[in-house]
Amino acid sequence: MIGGVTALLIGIIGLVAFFSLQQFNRSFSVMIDNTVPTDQVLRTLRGDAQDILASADQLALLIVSGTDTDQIDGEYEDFKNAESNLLADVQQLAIIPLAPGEPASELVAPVGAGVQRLISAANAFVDGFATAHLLSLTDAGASSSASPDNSTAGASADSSAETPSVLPQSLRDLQLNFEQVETEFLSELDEFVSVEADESLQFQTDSVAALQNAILAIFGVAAVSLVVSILGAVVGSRQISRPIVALIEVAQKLTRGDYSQRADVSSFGEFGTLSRAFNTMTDTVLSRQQELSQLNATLEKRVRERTREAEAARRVAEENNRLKSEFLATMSHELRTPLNAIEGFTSIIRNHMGGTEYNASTARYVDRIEANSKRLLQLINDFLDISRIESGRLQLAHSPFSPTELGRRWADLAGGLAEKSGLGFEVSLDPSLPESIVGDEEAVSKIAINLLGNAVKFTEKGNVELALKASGDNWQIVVSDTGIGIPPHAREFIFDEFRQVDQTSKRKFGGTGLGLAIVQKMARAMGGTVTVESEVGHGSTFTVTLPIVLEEPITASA
Amino acid sequence: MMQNLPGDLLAGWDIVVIDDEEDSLEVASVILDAYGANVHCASDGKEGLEVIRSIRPRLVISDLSMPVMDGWGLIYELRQDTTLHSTQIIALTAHAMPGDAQRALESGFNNYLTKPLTVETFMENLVNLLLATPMLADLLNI
Repeated sequence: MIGGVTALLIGIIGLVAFFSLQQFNRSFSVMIDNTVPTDQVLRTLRGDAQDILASADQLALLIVSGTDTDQIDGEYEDFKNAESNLLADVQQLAIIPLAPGEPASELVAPVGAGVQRLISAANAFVDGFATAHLLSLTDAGASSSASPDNSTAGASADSSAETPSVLPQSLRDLQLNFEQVETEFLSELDEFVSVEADESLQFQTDSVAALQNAILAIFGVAAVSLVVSILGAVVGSRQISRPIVALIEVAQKLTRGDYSQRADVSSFGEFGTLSRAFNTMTDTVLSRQQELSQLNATLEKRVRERTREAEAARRVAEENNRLKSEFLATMSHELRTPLNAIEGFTSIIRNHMGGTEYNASTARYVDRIEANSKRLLQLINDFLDISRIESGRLQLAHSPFSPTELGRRWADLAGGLAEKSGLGFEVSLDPSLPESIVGDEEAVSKIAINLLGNAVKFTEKGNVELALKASGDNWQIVVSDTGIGIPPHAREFIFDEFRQVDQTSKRKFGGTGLGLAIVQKMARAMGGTVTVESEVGHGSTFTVTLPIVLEEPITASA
Repeated sequence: MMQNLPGDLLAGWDIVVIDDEEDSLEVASVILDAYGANVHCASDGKEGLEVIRSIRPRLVISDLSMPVMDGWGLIYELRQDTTLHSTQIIALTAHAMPGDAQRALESGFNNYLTKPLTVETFMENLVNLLLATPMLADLLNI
């Protein structure tokens, strides 16, 4: 197999070389001697050599001789840039600096006689052409004539080279001379080409022909080897392709999800190793995949379980919430119904309706019934408030209200209560409070009235004070009294439901024990806080701090 | 007796009061009777409907939560009957939850009163409602 491939490669190289040389035979080579200044040669070629070049298929070799390699390189670059069209035809190009006087023909000595002659003609053409050109320049500059072979002299005169405006007689002569050389060269070229084409046997001894033969021989051997290889491959293909096709089929089935498939490992050598490696890989991938699907199944099962649990928990929570709402509604209704009867009949007696006998005793008892029924109604309302806050059903309003106006209303109410209890009442409303605050007026009032009610209730003598203050982004409701005060240990729990300072005060002062709990819960629901400062026997100060929410500025479109 | 209301305020008025709570029923009827109304009682919506159809009262005051037929069922039946379209029907309930009042008005009740009732609150609210209804306001003996 390796032998076959090598033969194939040699064959290809041979073919390429063969056709390259064929190409070379049809190309036009220009050999330039060092006796002509390089820039002159190049400039000349640029203009006039195009016709000559057009007659050949391509310019194969440009040999420029000279002493200064760098100069040649630089000039060649100029030439190349300026003459891209010309250079498009230049397929092989070399700049070979030669010692002065060294004949260019020696460089191509191995090339056959036809080529040799061509080179000579080319040299003659270039020499003549360049000399003619040089002379024309000299004529233009000094009006003196120079011999056609005085090319060496031209080398020193090239710096003054300018395009002649008028062609003198001597130049016309040289031009004729050039045309003659050119014709000679072209005929030489034609001869070479025709000889090469018609009488190839004549070049049997030429090195090109010899090389062609050698290449043909190599190519022949290679071709034979290739045929042998192809035959070998065709014969061996069954052994090679069958396991490959089988392996591809296995891979395709595996891709489609048939994991029972395995490669045939009966082959010996490299293919057997490959098949075994393939199977090992398949086994590993499969076992990883099984692990993953197992893990996935476990995870899915867990997710389903969790989802079920969460769903169940949500249903329970929803059901609880519904029951709570239902309970609240029912309780509210059920408690109000008997109260309705108590309050209704009490008011009927007081109004002497339905033939009621009414005297002083009746009046006193009716007062007691009324007071207690109000207390009971208060308890129900407090209880419902607490339940609403705790179940998250407290819906706070967002309506604008004037804190100052609200403060005055509270002051009227609390002032009346204080007066009844023989207490003084003071109110101070901070003028820097906003005109309007957005919030739940009713909830805020509930807080203030609760605190004011407590202040009056727990104060035997002295004053109750209400102050509304602006404090940065917040506003404060401050309720102070000169009452019994709250002992330090009790300050921790007075905001808890059903807690009062002690049982004595509960009996003495009454109350549901829900008031402060409602105050704190409501304040928190509004994003505020409640703090207390107190000194036993001297009084207490409750401060409710609530955020100031201002009304959205009314836009032009609104 | 409320100081500014005459005792014969509702003289000549047929009023049907419907409530399954006997005490509530009695409180309302005693007060209305005290102002001269002819009070007719019923203890559920179905019974109330029969009384209303035979008496054809000017005013109906009905509880909402009742057995057999509740206040919602009653108002549905009453509003189907075009011959009763001028009858004023006021809901009276211990339901004090938000949205109850709105729901009652949407269902066809002319107005809504919340328990507990006292002579003062009941009469004040009732008179205000009646004064706001021109054809009934003229019939009040003020």
